[in-house]
Amino acid sequence: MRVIWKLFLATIKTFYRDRMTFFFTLIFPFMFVIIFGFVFGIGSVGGDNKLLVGVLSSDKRLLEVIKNIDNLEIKEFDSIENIRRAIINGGIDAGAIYDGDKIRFILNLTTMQRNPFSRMLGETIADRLTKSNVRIDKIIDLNLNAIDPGRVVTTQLGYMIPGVVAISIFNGALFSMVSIFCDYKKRGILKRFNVTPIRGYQFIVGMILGKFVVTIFSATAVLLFSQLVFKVQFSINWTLYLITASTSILGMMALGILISSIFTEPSVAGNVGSLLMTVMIFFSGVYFPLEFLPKYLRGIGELLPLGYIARSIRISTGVESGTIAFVLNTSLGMIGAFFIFVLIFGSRLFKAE
Amino acid sequence: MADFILEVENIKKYYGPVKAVDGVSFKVKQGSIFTLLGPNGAGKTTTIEIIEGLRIPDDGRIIFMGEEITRVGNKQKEYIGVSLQETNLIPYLTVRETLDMFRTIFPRSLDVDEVLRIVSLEDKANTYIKNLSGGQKQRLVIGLAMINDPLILFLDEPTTGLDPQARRNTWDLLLDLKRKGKTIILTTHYMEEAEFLSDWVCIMDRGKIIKEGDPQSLIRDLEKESLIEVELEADSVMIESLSNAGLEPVYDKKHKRLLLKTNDILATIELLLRFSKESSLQIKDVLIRQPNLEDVFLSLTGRSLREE
Amino acid sequence: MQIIRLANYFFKSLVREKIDLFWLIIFPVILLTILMLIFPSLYEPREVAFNLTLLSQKGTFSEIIERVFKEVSKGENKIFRLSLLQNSEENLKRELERLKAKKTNLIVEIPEGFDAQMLNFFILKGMGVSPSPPVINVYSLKHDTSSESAYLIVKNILEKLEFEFIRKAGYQLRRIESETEVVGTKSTFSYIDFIYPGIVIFVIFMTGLFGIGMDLVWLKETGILKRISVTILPKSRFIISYIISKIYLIIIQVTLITLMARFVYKTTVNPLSLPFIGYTALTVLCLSSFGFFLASVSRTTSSANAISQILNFPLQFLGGIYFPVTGVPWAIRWIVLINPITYLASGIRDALGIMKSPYPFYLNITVPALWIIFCLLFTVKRFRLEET
Repeated sequence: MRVIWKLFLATIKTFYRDRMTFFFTLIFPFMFVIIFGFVFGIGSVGGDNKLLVGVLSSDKRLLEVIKNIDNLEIKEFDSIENIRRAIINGGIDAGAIYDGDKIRFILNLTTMQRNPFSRMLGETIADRLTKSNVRIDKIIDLNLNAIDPGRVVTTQLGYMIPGVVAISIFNGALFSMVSIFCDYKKRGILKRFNVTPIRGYQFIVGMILGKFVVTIFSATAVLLFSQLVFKVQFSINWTLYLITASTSILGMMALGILISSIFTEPSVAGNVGSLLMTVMIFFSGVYFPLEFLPKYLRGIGELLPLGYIARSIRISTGVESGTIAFVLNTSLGMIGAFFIFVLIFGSRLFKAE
Repeated sequence: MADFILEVENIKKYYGPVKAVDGVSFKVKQGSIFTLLGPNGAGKTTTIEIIEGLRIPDDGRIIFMGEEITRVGNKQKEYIGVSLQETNLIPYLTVRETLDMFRTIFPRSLDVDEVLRIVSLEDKANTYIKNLSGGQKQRLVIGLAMINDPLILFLDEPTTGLDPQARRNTWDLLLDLKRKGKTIILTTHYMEEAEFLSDWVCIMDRGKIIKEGDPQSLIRDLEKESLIEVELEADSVMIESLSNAGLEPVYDKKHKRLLLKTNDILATIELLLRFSKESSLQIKDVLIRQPNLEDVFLSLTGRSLREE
Repeated sequence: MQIIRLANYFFKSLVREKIDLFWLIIFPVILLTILMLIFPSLYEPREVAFNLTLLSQKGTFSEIIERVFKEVSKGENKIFRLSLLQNSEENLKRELERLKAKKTNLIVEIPEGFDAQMLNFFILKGMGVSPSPPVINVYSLKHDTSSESAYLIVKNILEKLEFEFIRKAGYQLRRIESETEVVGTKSTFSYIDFIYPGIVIFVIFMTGLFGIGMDLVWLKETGILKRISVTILPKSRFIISYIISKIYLIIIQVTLITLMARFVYKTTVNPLSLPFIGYTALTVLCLSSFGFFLASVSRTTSSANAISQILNFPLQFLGGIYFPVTGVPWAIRWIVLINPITYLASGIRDALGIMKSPYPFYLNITVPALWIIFCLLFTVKRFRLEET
């Protein structure tokens, strides 16, 4: 036991003493929040679910019509050029211009990205204008109730942050295993332990425990810090969160162990990990919605663990509703994978040549 | 306790067609300094790693403290201390923390402060590993090898890369450990180290032990009191002529060194000078010295121990 | 020539390093593939069908609405997978749970008394009064693109449905058409045209950071630069041949990406056009000098690695390589504004007519130019071939 404790302490000390790694492990997820949250994930200029549309102030009738469309807000401009410029600059989400014949609806790429169906609003505006010509504004009033997916009311950014925590877990867990199984092996540190009567399990448990604590600390720090900095609301069910985070770390460690056993050269294993992370970022459904992808790509997404981890964390932070069964099943899968891989590959660590 | 603390019989380790260790046998007396001497690639490290339990031999017997074992396991590892060829420690731990961490692995161990004193690292106790100099790291590595107060110390190339002063300090440390009753098994390619420290030397080359004995008797077996080392460019015809002239030459082609073993320096010099005048040999340098283990190796293999 | 021979040696040593080869040459191709798999579908979704729950009532108008939704929910090109239920309190409650669980994307609820209200509405309208229209409730899920999309589609459908009602009521309607465009682009938006110059900037950026920056620090750390500096080779010659070896690499990278963009994805961008070549050259100068700058400020490979990783993602993403960066809060905006990639990316797209630049032309040239001057001056002052 003392051996395991000493190794555990050594791992923790190494983590915070290596300033670069420490800084990086904590800062990296924040970068993701900033990039994806602010740039891509945050709602439109007009606010959640609303678009800010630029209209010529001389176009009184169009102004009137658009005012009555519930998910659009108006900003008036004095020239078409200014409207276009404002769209390019991101000052408004879209522009609507009526040339007497048809409606020209102008979007920027970001608005299209946020919701590809936003272009349909052009038709909606045109239809409303048509009706107003016969002085009929609305026949049916659509009353939109946007429901919060979870227990708490949160912004788009708040909804994204659990996904960032998932990435932080993936990153920390996977690369920590590459460090032990590849890097330490290559540098001869494993050999140094191998000439002592230390038992394989003592080494593995001590090291993994240390990395585990470090990873869960980083992930939770990201979660809590984001809450503070971005002023988002979570309703954290700590038991569920700890179960999810812990088992996800173990599951991703399993992946790290697998990669290290296949690619024994540390730099290669590290690069494979980075490549995997890139694929996960794009295809797991955490940052880009999967629903619009062709079926075979959606299939890939469903195989990737990151999506499940992110969903479990969203459930445990109250941002999304879901069953405890889902969380527990995901957790069991992760633990299972962990034990299988550690049993298979862990013993190989200390095998004599 | 058996007189021989470790006996190794006909150890073999093959890697495909490569015979890294090809039937090596030796016995190590308790309380002695035993050296495996040979150039890089001779199989010294492989042999040692088999005895340390890092590799499994393809054939052979190991008798450890009187008990025959199929392979070195945790029970034996309690009694050995190892210093590996590469210094391989966790960079962000301090000297004290590293010693302490390894100490907990063993059922019996020395006090960390005592080890620090023995290897003279007391003032570096709280320094990070990554900030230690080469010599300091090496001392720590030896300290780690000693932390469990072992019966046998395995030191693989313990002074490689050290400056002469640091090397001498290490030698003093090892002699001190021997005085304390430790058995030390050393591998090295430095002939001076083997000569200075060892009670017994096994000369290894290409996976085999080609000669063994205590350093002095190995050198005596050269049967010559002195050596004349001549730096010149010679071909096989010239060597044969030198031989016919009664000079008993050994020529190291790689380093362009001619070795003449002799019991009569003056006579041999005279002979050499006469020969060089007659055949217009271009002699660049002449050195007269006592023979050493390097010469033993050279005479056995025609090659030098040194790395260049 | 000695310079060319040296350059060849530098290049050979790079090529033999398989890992670097992968990241600098093969990875950009993989990245382009991934982007082309995801983003075009994002902008123009095909084969999407949303799960819609319709809680209906009995009555003429309700049945009309039902029929309309059934119509768009059948056939190969159906938009919705329709779940039709009687409107009741338990049904609504259950469907709301299903909505949260994402089992349905949108709930359309026709409330009780809807038909009566509709009748009322038309009667009053006919009498010249302006009554408030009857309400249909829609429930969507926040932060869910599918749900929000489904809502937009339903909205659209109902607008069209209203036309039917209006015509039936005897009014003559002249339908106004609409045209949607993505601002500043050519007639149809093409993602490959957008991303191709972005990926070119990306590969040059990678070469600058890792191929030059990290590489020089490694050469310094391992003492190779020191080895070279004690020879009679003039420093300038070393620098020139080093740069030439990197240009070989960049040419290979850009060619590979171009071939892919042209022949696999059919981009209409002409890589041999003056704007393309001009901006690419500017990018090479700018991001290579950035690499030299990095090598001057880092003493060890681990610090260089840390700095590159920290700079890597923000500069790429906030520079607008993958998607335009607009409407960011002030805290982030300054990163966008000092980032040379921002101007290179918008500049090249504007010059090629792909997308109008939010920044004036002179900024697109001067900001990168200022970076070049700053980095090179800094390098000349600070960079040592060995650590003193």
